[in-house]
Amino acid sequence: MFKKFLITVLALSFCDITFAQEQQDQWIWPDQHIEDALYLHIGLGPTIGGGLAMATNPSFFDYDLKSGFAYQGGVAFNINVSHHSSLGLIGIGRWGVEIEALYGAKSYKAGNKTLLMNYLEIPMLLQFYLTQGLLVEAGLTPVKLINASPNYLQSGNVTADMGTMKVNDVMISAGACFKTPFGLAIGLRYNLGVSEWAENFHSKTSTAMASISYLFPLIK
Amino acid sequence: MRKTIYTFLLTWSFLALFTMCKNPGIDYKTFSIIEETVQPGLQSVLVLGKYDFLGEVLSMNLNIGLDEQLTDAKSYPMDLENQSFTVTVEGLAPGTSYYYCYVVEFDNTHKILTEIGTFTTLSDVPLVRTLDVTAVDSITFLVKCIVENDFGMPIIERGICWGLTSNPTCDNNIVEHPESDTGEYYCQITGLELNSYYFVRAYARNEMGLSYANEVLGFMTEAFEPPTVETLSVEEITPTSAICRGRIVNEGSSSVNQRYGIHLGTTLDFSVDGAYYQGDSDGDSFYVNFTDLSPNTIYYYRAYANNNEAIGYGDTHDFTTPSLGRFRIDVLCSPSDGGEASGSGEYDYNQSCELRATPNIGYYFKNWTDPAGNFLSEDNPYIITVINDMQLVANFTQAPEGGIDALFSVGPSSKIYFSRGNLQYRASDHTFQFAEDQWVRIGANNSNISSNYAGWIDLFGWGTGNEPTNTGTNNDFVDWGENSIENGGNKPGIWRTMTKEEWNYVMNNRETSTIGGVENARYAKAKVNNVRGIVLFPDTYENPNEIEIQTITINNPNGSFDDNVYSENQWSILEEKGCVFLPVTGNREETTVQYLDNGFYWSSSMFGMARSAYGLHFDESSLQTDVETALKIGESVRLVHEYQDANMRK
Repeated sequence: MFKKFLITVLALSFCDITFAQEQQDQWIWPDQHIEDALYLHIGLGPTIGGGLAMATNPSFFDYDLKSGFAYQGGVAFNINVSHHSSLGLIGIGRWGVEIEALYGAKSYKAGNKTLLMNYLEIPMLLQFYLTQGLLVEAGLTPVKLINASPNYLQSGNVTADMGTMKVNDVMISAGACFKTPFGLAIGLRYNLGVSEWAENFHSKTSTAMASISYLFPLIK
Repeated sequence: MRKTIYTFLLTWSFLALFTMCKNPGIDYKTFSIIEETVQPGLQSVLVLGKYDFLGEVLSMNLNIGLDEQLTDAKSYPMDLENQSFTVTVEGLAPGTSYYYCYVVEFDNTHKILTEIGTFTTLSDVPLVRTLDVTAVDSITFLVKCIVENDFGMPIIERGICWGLTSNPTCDNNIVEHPESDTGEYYCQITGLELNSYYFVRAYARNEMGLSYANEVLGFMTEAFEPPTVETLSVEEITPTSAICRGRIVNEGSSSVNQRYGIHLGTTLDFSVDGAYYQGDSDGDSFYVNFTDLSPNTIYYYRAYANNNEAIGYGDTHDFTTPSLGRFRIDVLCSPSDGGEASGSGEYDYNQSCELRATPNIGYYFKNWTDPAGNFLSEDNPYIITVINDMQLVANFTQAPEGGIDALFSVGPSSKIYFSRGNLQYRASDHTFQFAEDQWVRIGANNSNISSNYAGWIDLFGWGTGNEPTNTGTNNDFVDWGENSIENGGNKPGIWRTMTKEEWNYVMNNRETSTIGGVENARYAKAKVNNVRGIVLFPDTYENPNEIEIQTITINNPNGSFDDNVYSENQWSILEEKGCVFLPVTGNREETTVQYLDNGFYWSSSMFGMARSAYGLHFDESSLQTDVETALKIGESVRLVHEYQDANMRK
């Protein structure tokens, strides 16, 4: 499923790029200082974060999952498009897109054990700048479970074999971020999982994360 | 710009579709026991096995109880290691059925109980059951019981105990069964009170103790007791008459007075044509003289007696009245060349007939049998009263009187019969005889040897056939067989002593039958009637099924006497098959009897010119046929008789 998902994303992104290229004759690069021209800001850099991982309990097993620590790290890719300011400044446009590739780990308390689940996450968010530095963002975060430990969870005389768990989810993500002019960004984000871990294991994941990232401008 | 946003939203809309997809299920595994072994002991049980579980087991206990629901269960913690569990529970009761289950604890709040199983501990006392009670008469009952298991400990007593209380014990009344073994047995209770309810149960005892059957059976005696009557044998049967007798054993619960006699009919079912005939008293018994019977008819009769309340019967017997006319007597000889028999012919009913058997040379008369081999008489002549057609067989044998009727090869073409026992001598009247049984030896009393001793001796100096109380010399070997032997044909010269070579041939060279896979089985050490010795198997021999011979002892000079132990009854079976037993006898030096656990048997062969001769010697660890012994030593003598086959006699 995750493979189909990636193919779809790539296909749709290709459509978007094609569309953008069709508009290329209208684009004005920032160093041209031409009023009413479009400016494209692209940043790329590392991002790390930490926060709280939460999971709903499965309804028919007394696993008693409790929230635990979550952390993540990876690469952030940001695009911002703006018109030239009438003041002649090179400013920030209202809209932007953030795409990240993250390795995330989420831990939960399961009885006297700690369940650690490692994911590959690709947040894809639409950003709206409230001010030049403060923005809100929303979007979807596809995730894929890489592994989980321990390899089982036990409730009485029943064990769930976590090694057979194959979690794919698209989390609904929303948050806010503050960006400094020199590339440092601090964000808060809430991710709400919508898929159950397994059709016979009815837990859903949500995380509340704080992150810090530094984006090197590729195009300003 | 707006189109870019639309494209972006469209992309996410597609992505949202994926959220509708469900993740596949995962595997759940539950705790299960995959291997289990329950080994009950006398007062313990060992339980071990393996379980299959992905998770952790905090503890595992074995609950054991007598109640099927385990309400009285005690819990025993089990040792857990690598998904294996084991526990040994001590202090259980022998021969008892227990129920058990496992209590598996996974954490402080989760535990499960497995299915309930059962096992029975071994018992050190016998397992005995009361099976059935049947009435023999109003106050006599037959109880059927079984010793199902002796648990490897021989039963030393079994029987029944009975009484008026519901749980009779051996402190009440017992009837002990004469045999002590496992399997079914019957005991009879007699002399009970009329109109009473009794309880009975089986018991058995071994060295570990006494056990009772779980089943206690009850039975009710009759309100009254009929007379107990015994049917006696029939006498003076003629074609038309017979005298039937009976006896009143017990008059029962009231007086019989003169109401007794014989119930007579021609079928086993007396209701068909049975009739009661009043009897006449004759001392302790009574009789009925029937005078109008039909010839050649089977009659069934039983004694009866009647008291004021009931009639009692004895067992049913039968007899056949003979036919009128003449009867045929045929006399056959076995073997046909063994001799001649006279007396065949036709005789009137009740006529006396004299049968006479005359053996041919080399044969001896043995006995009379019917054609099926059933023994009739050893008399010769044999006088019978003819009452029907008969066939009789006169049996002849080459074994003389006092000989064992089985052949043993003592050389490639010579065979002998052994005498029935070791030679014995009484000096006071100069009498020889063979020992009454093969295992008989005089032993220490040989020290009383003297020329006028009135007791028997059986240890002789070599070659002292002329004067058995003398010391042996090398000048004149006189065979003891030259004397008349009282129970050995009572004629001189029938018997002789074997040579050294013949002893060797008997023990080591002759071709014989196979016993238990051992070809040419010639001898085995054994203990007969608690006497050690050597069993010799005849040339042709088939071992009876009921007698076990340890094959390791066959032809084994080092074999143990204790490996083959036979009672007197078992030996009589072997003897019937022609086996010879040479008991240990010891030897005598002047008046000192010694080595009583050794066998010494003279041969007729002298050792060179020295003052010694050869003999057979055996003890716990050896058997030799050529042991050289001083002539003055007193040893046993086992005489033999020469066999001559028909061709040789011609």
